[in-house]
Amino acid sequence: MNAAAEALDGASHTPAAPPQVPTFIRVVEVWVPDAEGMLLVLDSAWYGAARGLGLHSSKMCFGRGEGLPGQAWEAGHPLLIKEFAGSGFRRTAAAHAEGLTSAVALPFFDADRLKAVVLIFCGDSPDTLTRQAGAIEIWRNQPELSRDMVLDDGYYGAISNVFEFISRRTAFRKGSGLPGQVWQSGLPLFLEDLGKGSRFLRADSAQTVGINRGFALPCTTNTGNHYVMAFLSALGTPLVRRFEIWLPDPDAAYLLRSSGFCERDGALDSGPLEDRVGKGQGAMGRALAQGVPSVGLQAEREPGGVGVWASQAELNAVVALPVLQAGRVVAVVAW
Amino acid sequence: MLRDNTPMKKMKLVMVGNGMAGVRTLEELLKIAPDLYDITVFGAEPHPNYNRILLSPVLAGEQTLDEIVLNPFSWYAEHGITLHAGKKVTQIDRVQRVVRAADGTEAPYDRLLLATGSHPFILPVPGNDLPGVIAYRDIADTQAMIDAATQYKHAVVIGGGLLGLEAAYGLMLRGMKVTVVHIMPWLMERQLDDVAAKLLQKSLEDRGLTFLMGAQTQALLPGPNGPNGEIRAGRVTAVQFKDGTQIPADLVVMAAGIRPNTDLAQACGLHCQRGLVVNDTMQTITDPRVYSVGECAAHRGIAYGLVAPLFEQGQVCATHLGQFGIGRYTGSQTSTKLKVTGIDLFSAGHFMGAATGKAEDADCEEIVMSDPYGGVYKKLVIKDNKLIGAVMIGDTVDGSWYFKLLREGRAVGDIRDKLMFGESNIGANLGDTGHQGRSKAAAMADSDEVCGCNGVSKGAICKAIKEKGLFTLDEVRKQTKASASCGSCTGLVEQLLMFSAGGDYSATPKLKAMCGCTDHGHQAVRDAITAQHWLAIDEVYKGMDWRTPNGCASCRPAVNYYLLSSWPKEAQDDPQSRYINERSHANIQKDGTYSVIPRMWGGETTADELRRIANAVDKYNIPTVKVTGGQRIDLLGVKKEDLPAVWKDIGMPSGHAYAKALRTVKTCVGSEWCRFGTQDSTQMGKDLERALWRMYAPHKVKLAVSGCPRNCAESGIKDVGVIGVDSGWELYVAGNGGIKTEVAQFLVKVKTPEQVLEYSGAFLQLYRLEGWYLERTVHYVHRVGLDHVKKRILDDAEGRQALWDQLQFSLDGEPDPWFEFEKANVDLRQFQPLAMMKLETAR
Repeated sequence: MNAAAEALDGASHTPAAPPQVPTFIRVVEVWVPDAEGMLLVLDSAWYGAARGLGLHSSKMCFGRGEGLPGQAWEAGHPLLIKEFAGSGFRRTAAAHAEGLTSAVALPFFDADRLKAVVLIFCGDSPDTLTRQAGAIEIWRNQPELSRDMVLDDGYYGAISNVFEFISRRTAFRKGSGLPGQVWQSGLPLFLEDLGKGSRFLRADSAQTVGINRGFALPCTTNTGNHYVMAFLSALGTPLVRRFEIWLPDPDAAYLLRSSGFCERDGALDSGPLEDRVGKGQGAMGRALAQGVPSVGLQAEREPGGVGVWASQAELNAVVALPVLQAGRVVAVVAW
Repeated sequence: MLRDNTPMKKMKLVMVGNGMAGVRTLEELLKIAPDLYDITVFGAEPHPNYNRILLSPVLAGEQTLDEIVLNPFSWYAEHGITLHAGKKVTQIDRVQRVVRAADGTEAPYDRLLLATGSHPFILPVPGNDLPGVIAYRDIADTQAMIDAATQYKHAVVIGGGLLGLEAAYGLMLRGMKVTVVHIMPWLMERQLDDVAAKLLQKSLEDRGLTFLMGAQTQALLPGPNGPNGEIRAGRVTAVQFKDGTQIPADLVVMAAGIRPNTDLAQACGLHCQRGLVVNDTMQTITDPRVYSVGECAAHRGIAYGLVAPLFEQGQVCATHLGQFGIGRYTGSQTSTKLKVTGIDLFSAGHFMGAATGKAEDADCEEIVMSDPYGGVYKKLVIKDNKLIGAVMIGDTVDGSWYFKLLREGRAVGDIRDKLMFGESNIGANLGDTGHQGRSKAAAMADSDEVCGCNGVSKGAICKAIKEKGLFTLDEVRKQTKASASCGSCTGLVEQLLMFSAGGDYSATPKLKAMCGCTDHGHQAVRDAITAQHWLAIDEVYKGMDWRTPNGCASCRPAVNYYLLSSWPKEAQDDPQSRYINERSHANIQKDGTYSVIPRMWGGETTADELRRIANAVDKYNIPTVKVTGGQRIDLLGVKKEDLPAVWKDIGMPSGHAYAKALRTVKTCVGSEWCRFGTQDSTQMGKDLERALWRMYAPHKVKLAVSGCPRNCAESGIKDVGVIGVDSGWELYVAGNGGIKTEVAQFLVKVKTPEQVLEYSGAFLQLYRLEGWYLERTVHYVHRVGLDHVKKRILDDAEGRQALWDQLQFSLDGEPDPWFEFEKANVDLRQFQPLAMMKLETAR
């Protein structure tokens, strides 16, 4: 049974958990090139409750330019789907049935070589009263045109009126604001309360629409441009239940937690050395070793204390995304 | 970039090439994503998409060009496709993403589908560009051959593959004297082994073709004038070979193979190696915007030329062009099931087996059945307990089953002893008792493939028949594509139609064609034979515009029967139109030996007959002697070469246990011995059998006579059952004890044995004249109704007498095939040992 099939199988056998607040990020699929490097095939996936979306994924494959994964490969940078219908995305009915409203395709390149494409599907509600709001932003800097990073594309769902207006008119210098900081550091950044502090320049607008969580990630491309992808969400819609950033030691032999945030426990400090995750161990260790995103479908078995925390946070899967700089893994983001 | 909430603007798809593979891809794409693309098609030929496989029937004059069009011009218009027919694309600009045709027409693309097909291989010999030297690839070539045949006499076809043979035969039918030149030692070496090829060659030579095998063409020679002085302007006049010999040639057809047409692809920098290299989604490995299907595409190093793989490619390509991402093409295992000039051929897998001489093939085992004079040869190659190859000529009905075994890699140890005798001998063991020829279709699983070209399963066909209410072959073709390409599965599709549509099918006013060779039904053929006084099969084919020159395994036996039954003493029996058992006058068994069942009148025998049988059993080492259900003695395991001698030594008439004819008249002991008997059933049975034996019929016929209503002879399940009662005899008709037991229906009660003979004989003659071939009496009576039978037999005394007279006239003087070989057209060469036959055919 492949990982994707396990994802469905595992979900079907997992005892019903107590009702939880739905997260904004609902589904993750990792597509990797096949042995010949010609086609993208599903490597692993986490579908959570949205099992219907994954029913046929394991039978699919995409060439360059084909489907959402293939289009991200072809484009060489992140792609956003703000509305499934009419987008060329073919699993629209399943996506709608599972309450999904948007998706982003995130390619991972080592120089020009594609290592993976991650599809992240999100769900919110058009009803602002439910406070299930979320946004996806793709920020881009074109060095030959500008020193600023501007909005390349954005999904704002229920908060589109106010926040989108501001965002489309905002530009960030390197080091400024959430996108600018990530662009400068080349590392991921999680902000637990956007309305407080000075690191989020659109704090007033965020407070107005109820946005409080933010997470941004530098993206690899083969275009020469710089991209940062950001997820934003409201109180009623946490991005994910638990979010952690792990950094490798100088020899890249293991990962140690740098920071994180848990919706149940709050901010997470750096982890003790005894909780380190060795290269190749579990989903995060694989991401470190191979530089390829990975999904671990048995969260409780993840090494280095991750399993314990995941169980406490009622997570049954762990998603690990490597952050690459010049082909080297400089961090691993996990949730 | 997918940034806009408005519906996506249609992308532009341009297809270069307007052939079968490319258009099939478009058809599939339009099914799943009709609004995704604005489609433009460029075709170098001025025609819409046509069935290239059917160019041979066009050449042979059996079909017209209109009949082979698959997608008329209106189809393109209906689907909003811009078709540039007759415009050859000369340039692809991959930077600007635009294609340009020779006349300057341009079309921009987001996706490009190259389906440029193949080039015929032209021998690099001097004179290959002379007038009169052509390839055989498209409609223009075909028309050139048709035109040449009206003006010239000598044609030479270079290449003894399928295409070459079809061209040669078509030209011969158009009156040319044709020589086939083939460089290899035997024909169709990629599809046939030497034995099968020799059989094919002999068969084609019998039809009038000449062959030069192993001949190397050196040059094509021009001549100033023709043989009658006409100006020929340098047209080819002869073919010269490396040994210096020459043969006359007014027309030279190059049919020496094909090469992928990658001219455009190479010119625009797409990677080509044995074709335009594509991945598993048929996307070129060089440019993700460019796809390729068909004979021009090289997938994993193979450029396929058969239609089935090309259609598989088209299906996969369409789902990826449609952005669905479903499926990948992983290559095809191909089988070849085809008709060369009316001769059925099938080959698949590693059919050469140990004959390759390679060390890795040394452990291949072969099962061979050969009847060279009957035109049947089957070879199965087994390795590691699996079927790895098969080649057949003459009898290819089980080809698809063998191919399925081969493809699935199924272990065949448990069915090895029956393997040679086909699917119908496995499991249900239907033998020849299948009703109305349905056994093959009925035995198939829903998932079994019926149409290999289009990958259509039995389940899909039956579903379409039921859900769409289909009644005709054309409707099934249109809905499912089954039987719409090479046509070799037509018979099977027809069986499925009968099987699935059932009563509705019978009730449909639309005509059921006899087979794929004609649109005429059985009744129409019978009626025409009677009305036109036709006496030979060829007259029927010609007079009724048969599509195929030699018919097929379905129509030939039927037409032969209709001729013989309609015009006894006049029509000539054609042994080649009989089934193999009827040609051998014995039933072939699963180990390749035969069974011999001598006739015993009424099931009664004598000590002398039994002694002769016993002596023959000893003399010829016959392993098994069995008493049959029909009260006869069956000698099982007789070698074919011993058959004539066994018949002679036994000295008893043929039991016809192998034929569509009267089999047995089963009797009880009757009033002579039985305490309950009311009539002499044994004598009645003997009288009936002597009167009716040698009776050729639409299907086998069994009779029984019981001396009292206790019915010990089981008369109630026979074609004609006779039961003695105190006041005479009761006659029952149309019973059947086969797969589905059918109780015979009461016809009449008569008083005398003479009346039994007359009424029984009249009924059987009526069945002989009105029954369709392979229709048992039970189905015949179901079709025409018992009232019709009663009207003809009971109400019309003169008519009854006439029928009885006709039957006696027909049977009078009919030979016993076991003794009167010449009169019965028995080819004694078939009884020579296999080794001798192989030597002869190889000469």
